[in-house]
Amino acid sequence: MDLAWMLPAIVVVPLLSAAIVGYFRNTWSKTTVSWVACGSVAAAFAMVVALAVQYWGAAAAEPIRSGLTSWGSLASLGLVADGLSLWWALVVTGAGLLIHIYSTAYMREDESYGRFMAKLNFFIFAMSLLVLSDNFIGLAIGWGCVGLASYMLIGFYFTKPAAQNAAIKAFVMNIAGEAGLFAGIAFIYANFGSFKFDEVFGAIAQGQGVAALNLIGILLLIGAVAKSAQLPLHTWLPYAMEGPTPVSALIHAATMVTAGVYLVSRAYPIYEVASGAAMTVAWVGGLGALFGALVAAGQFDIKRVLAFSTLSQIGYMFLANGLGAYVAADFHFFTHAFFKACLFLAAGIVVHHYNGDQDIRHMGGLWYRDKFAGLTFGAAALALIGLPPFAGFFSKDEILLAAFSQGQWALFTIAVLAAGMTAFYNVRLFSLVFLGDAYVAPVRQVGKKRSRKQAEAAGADAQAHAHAHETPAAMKWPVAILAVLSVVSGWLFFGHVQLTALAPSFPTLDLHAEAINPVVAGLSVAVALVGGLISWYLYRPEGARRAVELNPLHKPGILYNMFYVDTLYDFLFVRPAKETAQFIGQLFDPRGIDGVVNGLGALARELGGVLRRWQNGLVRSYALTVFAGVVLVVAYYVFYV
Amino acid sequence: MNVVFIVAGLMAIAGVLGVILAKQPVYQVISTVFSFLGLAALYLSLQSEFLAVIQLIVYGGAIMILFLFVIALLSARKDPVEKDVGQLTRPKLLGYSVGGALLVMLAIVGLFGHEGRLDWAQVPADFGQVKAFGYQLLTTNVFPFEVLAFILMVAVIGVMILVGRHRA
Amino acid sequence: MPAFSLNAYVALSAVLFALGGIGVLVRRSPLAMLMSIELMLNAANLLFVAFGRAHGGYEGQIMAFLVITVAAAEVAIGLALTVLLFRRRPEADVDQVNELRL
Repeated sequence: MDLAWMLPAIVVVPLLSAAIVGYFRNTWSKTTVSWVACGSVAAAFAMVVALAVQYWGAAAAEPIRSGLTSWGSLASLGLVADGLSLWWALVVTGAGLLIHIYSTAYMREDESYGRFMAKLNFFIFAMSLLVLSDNFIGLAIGWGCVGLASYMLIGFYFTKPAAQNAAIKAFVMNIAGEAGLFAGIAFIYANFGSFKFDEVFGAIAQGQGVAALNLIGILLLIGAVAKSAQLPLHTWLPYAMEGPTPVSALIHAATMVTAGVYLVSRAYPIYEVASGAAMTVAWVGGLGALFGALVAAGQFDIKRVLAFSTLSQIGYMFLANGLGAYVAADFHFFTHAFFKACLFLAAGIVVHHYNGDQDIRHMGGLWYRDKFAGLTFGAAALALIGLPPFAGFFSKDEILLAAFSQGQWALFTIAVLAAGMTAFYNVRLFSLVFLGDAYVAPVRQVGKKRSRKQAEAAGADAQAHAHAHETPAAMKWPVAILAVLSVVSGWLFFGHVQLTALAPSFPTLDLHAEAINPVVAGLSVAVALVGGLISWYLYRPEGARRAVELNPLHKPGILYNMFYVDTLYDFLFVRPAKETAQFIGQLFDPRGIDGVVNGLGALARELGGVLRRWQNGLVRSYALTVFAGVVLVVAYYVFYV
Repeated sequence: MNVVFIVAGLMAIAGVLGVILAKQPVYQVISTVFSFLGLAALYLSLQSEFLAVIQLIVYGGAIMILFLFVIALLSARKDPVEKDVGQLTRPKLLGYSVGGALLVMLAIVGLFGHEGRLDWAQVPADFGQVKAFGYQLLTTNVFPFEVLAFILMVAVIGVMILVGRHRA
Repeated sequence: MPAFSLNAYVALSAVLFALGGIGVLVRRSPLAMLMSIELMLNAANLLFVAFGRAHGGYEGQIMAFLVITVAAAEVAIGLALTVLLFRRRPEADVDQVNELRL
């Protein structure tokens, strides 16, 4: 059966749904909106599954192709379903479906529910286009559209100044990256005369245009770094957590931010040849992994901890990509999508318990109130740490193994240290949120009698809230599914399965399943255990460091301030830009723009005043004009003809 | 014939000057008739006898009588409005200068234009006489003739609509 | 055969036309303006007739005939408008009829 028609359908159905839901967002009931929005993503997911069955079921895996549009010979947008794109599309639509379902409950109380679902659908469209395109133009269009979706969803609460600023920040940094991406694509076209992956990579395989490949690789990397929030363009990601939690789960953890990983994997022939660019990728990733893990240990906002954790894990993927272990990178993306989405969604449940307060210092003891959240969060956290039966262990081990077997000792050390830090911040996070005593808000001391009354009232409030937040089933099920996947997806797909799935997309590589190396695995698990135990010692309910950090007078240090990178950027870029804007706004705008506009107005008025005197209604004046004209015409004929 | 042209031309010019300068409407009408007479004589000198007659009957007779009737009807004995300057600034100065410029220009064209160098064609003896003219008018040019009839009818109806009924 | 050259007739016509134009421009009585316009039409007629004679055809005379007739119609309408104007205000001044400018 020919299923090629499904390829455009996967892209178009969510887009149509986004348009329809967006149009009827205020007329349809929330239930209808939910069904349409989730139904479109479910349809897309089903079609991806059907394509995957056909593709991987066939004896010789032949990519399924379909045209989307044809813009002359320059760029005909086509779609392709090969191993890599199906692998990614499965996660995008699958995780997308789960998070859509989660959102129907999580966002239901929001008055802009329809708008939210429409934007989420739009994101699925954009991301599907990104991963299914068979050329750089389609990829770039999808790339821009996911950036737009990200911008719209970070700024979803557009009445909050923080959300607006975060959205602008994310958009600006992504545009900065896109400049690099577009420049890279332009260089590709200049060198190879085509946008198609097949043609470009075929030309590279024949040894064409090798000289420019390092430059192209670096330019593409700039785009990937901005999109995937890697060093040094990472500063938008923590602020992107201003968006609703499902957005953080879907866009800023599972799929969109990993687009950079996809780009490098997709363009692997470039990085195979361009060793300098590949090493840059590896180092960016390795440093990012350690940086993210360190900063995550100093954050107090539950979603920011997870954001820096995402930064760190994508760093691992970049590291793998840079070392040529593309399969490992894509596998880590696969498992990471599950456990990180699970962490975010569980964090959403947690935040619901605290009425939107995301500060982990104001949490504690939640385990005794909500075992479900604790269990799922814990399972996903263990997967993130990378302990053996859980998913993260297998994928992270492959990456470490790649560094180990290639003898990249510096990168290997960094990656192992980052693994230890990962365990450290996860244990800290879990302990602060779920263990220990419940946080009691300090009551302002006005008078003794009154304060006791207020304290009692606050306690009663907390009791009421505890009962008010029964988690709806639509939120529980996706989290549960993702939690199970974060436990099993590692050993289920490890080794042979992922290689068979992905190998057709890397035809020039010599891929073979590698067994788990006991040295590497043992080392990483041991380091993780050490990191976790240290963290447990410090942050257990009676731990010393916990008491310090819970003290309201505690002054956060360098980790909380993200190594002052943000402060530096603020000083270097934001403030000069604002100053310039102010300067221009005060000088150029009123004098220049307004001056021109007012000047035009004044000119028109003056001219009108002059011309007005011609239309005075006096017949003789009109006659005079006519005769003067006749004189001029005759004079012309007399003197010039 | 030299004398005829000069005298008739001077008559025509004098009539126009009279229209420009005369204070009373009746004098203007008389000087206009004077000018028409001169023009009729010029037509004669150009061997257009029928047209000369028409000029006298239609212009000198009908149209000027119409003017006189209107003047009598409205008792506009004196042209009253030339005392103040009116709404135009320096109307006379502007009018004379523009008109003078036109005069100079057209005189240059008339005196030195290429077309004016044309020689008179040889024409049969009955050129411009009633029979020949009438033959031309009612055979070759009968369509314009009919259109003229229509235009006159429209004019008559228009005048009746404009002034036929007394509106307050 | 006319005694003067065609140039003389053209020049005379030009003079008549320009003087008529001056009359239109400097007089403010509608009657005077109408008469000046008639004189300008006559100047044009003279040109038609002169050129027609020079070419030896009847087109010039026919055209002049048309102009005379149309002028008659025009004068009829023009005088009707003048009558209306005088009815509105006894001292008719075209400068006061400036409703044309909206």
